[in-house]
Amino acid sequence: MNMTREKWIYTGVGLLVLLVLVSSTKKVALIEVRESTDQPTFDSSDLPPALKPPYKLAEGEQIPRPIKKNLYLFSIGLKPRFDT
Amino acid sequence: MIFSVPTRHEELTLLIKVKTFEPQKIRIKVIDAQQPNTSFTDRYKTIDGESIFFVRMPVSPQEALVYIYNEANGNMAAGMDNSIEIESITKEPLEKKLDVIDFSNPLIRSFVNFATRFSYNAGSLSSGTYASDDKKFIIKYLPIIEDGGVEQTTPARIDVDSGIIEISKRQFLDYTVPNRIAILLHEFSHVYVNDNLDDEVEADLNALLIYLGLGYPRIEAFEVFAKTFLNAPTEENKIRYDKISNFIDNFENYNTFIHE
Repeated sequence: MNMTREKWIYTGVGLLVLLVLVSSTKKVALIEVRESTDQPTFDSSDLPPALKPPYKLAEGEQIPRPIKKNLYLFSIGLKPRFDT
Repeated sequence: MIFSVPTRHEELTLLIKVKTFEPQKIRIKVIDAQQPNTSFTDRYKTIDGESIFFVRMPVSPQEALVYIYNEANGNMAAGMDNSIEIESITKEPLEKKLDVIDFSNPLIRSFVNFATRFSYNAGSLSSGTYASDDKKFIIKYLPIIEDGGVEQTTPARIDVDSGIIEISKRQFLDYTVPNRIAILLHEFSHVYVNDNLDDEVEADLNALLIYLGLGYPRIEAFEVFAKTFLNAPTEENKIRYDKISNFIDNFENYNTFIHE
């Protein structure tokens, strides 16, 4: 009796995992498009909050003093560059 | 061939299955259909038979355009180029390793949000000064980075006194969104994550830990460092590249310790 019940539980879990796998993989219909020579129209107001452009300071607006960390005496004036 | 894929700003991985009948150099580009100067990958692979391109996209546009073509023949419409077949394009969930990132650190949370929004929009942003929502981070988006009137080869640098990051717009426009994220995370790591703030290798590895944990593609990380180091092929940069390469290879196995 217990063995049968266990088998049903394992089957159920297996089906659930299969369902999750199948539903999370989506084949895209292959829609070919032509290269456009027109400049695409882009409106950033349609973007989700996590992708909205960051705040731009107005001309003459005081630059906020960013926080500093790990500063030590010999680091003053240092400007590490990406390429060195 | 150019295919339109609705990605709806979701986090996802695109699997592009391609078939060739003899070794062919196949180019893949994924760009934003709406936002100018915004690409997510631009790479090639020599394929003989069937192969799959994995394009990890922690950030995606509303609609992506996927360019696939044989470099020898150029970009031709489907049916015109018999040397290549596109078998399928599939969207799969993005694999991330957020546990390797210290998101309990509010600085990391804030900067990742700022860097993502800046990198995604950099193709259409005008030059100027940008601030994170909490005003803790500042990016000066300059037409070029110059010292004493001479344009510098670096795409970015950070002033360790003020924490202000300078970005060269001229160079940034050519980079993919993952490339831009890797550069910004490197500069951020110098001042806010590193133990030794002027250690380049430590900044590289700290940045990569966040970058790879967020699910960005490994190949784009290799590419951005390779591209930059080609402009400055010093002995130190060669050592950096070897360490980066080793770190990325080991990341999947969690063998990632930063001892610098």
